[in-house]
Amino acid sequence: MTDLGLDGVDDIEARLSPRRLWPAMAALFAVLALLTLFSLFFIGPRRSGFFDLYALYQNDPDLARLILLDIRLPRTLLGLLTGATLGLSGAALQSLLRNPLAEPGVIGVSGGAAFGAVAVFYFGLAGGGVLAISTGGMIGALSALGFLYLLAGKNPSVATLILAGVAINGFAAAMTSLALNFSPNPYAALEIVFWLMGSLVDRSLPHIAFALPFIIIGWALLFSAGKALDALTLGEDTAVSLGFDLNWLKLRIILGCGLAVGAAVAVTGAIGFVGLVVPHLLRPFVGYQPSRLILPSALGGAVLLTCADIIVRLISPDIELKIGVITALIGAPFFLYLIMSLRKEMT
Amino acid sequence: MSILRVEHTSVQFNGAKAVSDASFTLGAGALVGLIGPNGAGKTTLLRAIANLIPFSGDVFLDNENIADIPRRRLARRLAYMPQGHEVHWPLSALRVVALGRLPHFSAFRRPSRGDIEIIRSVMKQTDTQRFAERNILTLSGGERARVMLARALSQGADFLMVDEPVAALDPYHQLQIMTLLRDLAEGGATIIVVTHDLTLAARFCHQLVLMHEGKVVAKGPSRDVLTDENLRDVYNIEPFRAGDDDHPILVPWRRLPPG
Repeated sequence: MTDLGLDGVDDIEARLSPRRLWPAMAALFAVLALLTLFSLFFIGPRRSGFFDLYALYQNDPDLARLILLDIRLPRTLLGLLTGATLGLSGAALQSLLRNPLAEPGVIGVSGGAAFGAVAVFYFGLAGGGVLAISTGGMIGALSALGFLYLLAGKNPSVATLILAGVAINGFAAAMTSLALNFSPNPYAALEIVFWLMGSLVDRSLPHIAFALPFIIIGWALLFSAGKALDALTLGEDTAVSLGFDLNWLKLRIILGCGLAVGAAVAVTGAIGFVGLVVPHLLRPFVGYQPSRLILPSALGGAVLLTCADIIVRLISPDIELKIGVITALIGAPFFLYLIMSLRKEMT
Repeated sequence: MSILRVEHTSVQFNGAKAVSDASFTLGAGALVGLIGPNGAGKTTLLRAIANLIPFSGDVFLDNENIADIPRRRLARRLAYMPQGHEVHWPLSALRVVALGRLPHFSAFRRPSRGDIEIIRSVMKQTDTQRFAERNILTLSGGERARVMLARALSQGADFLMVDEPVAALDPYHQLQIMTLLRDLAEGGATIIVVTHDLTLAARFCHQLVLMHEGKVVAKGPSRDVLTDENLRDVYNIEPFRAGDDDHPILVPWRRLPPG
């Protein structure tokens, strides 16, 4: 067997150094910055670009400012926040559950948020204010979190968490179908179906202000869990023997994902595959260690969702193509490819 | 110091006693072999001593009850290597060993030169530096076991609980690891090693603790523990015996009818 020359402290330090992440992080930041600029200034209705916006600014600065600040800025910001939330939550949940197929929906909070929003449509409360649907969604998400805690108990095993999530998702899906089944009129049903597909369109800065506190608390809980998730790579007994409180770790991840994903889904609707695919996309570049994957996954999620939103606007400027449809269309085949390559890599 | 005191420790799983009223004291510098047949309660007792499962009774590290030691501080004093060598993601061997330094880090601190020096040293001691960059999931059982031991050693703890570290190793590495554990003990650490290899246990361990059906049935030097009577009553075997009483060579030779 060849000696890999790790006798020197410098060799080992270089191999463990977080600087190894810098190229991947810098690339993600650069792509994200470009996509953000593109989303803000270069993509408009009916393929209108930067010069159209500039011309409009010359003629009618107020209108140009309105388009930029009230339409494109919320849409872009929401794409960044939601994408980052989904990528971050996917990485954290895959690490917590030690399951590469875990995604933010697995704990049932997305389903709960979707049902909460659908209930607002069903009871005809959607017109009750700009934040009525989001408020319903957030109530649904928090209720799902409460049920998860009740079902899984104080010291849940991984299997119990997943099963409780499946039960909550199943119940939320059934209630959503029931609302569709008994929807007061076809328009209400159509509205529900469209909302469930996920979208960044027609959201405003108040939507972001509504979701942001939950998202920030969720991010803080998830970002602080990296080292404990690293320890969990070696199993629960070893993680505890390394000084980590597993009950607090599980609570932190579930609460973090629940708050951030719940708030994102409550505003955008269900957007699938981002949380599932992004950590897999990044592992070849940043490695499998959970603490090294968390921040890149947040950036990667933001890149992917912003990119999907730009694609939506480019390929279908007239009829709104829902972003959840695009992420699923791109994500599902790509995920199949990942499973095939993962099968080789994990054995 | 590194004195470990186990007092009237019992563990119950669903009402059944897995460990019943275990008591012993181990002085600093002791390498102790925890032996007994499958299901005797060895791993359960080791997990109780590491405070990983609820138990009744007391465990003291240098007169400090482990129930009163915060988890993070306990991790700097006591390291545990489970059997099974569970790893969920394809990390490099080096990264797995480096995880042993986690109890010494704050949330966002990176390894210092001192940490790196410890990682380098334990990898050299366990002969794992040659495959430091290899995916741990592609290593053989024996190689992986050595990486896991290196991970536990890198915690830099005075008390080391090791569950079957030599079970998957070739004879060369069995001798290497047992010698290493003995050297560490003679350097002041207190080590409990679970093993089924009675000859290695007799040769390297200063004391043996024999368990049967959750109870400690014998403890002391190998000549007092590995008697024909104990091997018959606990293991239901008659051994082939060579060597002397202090360092017997024991080969399981004949099964005896149970009871």
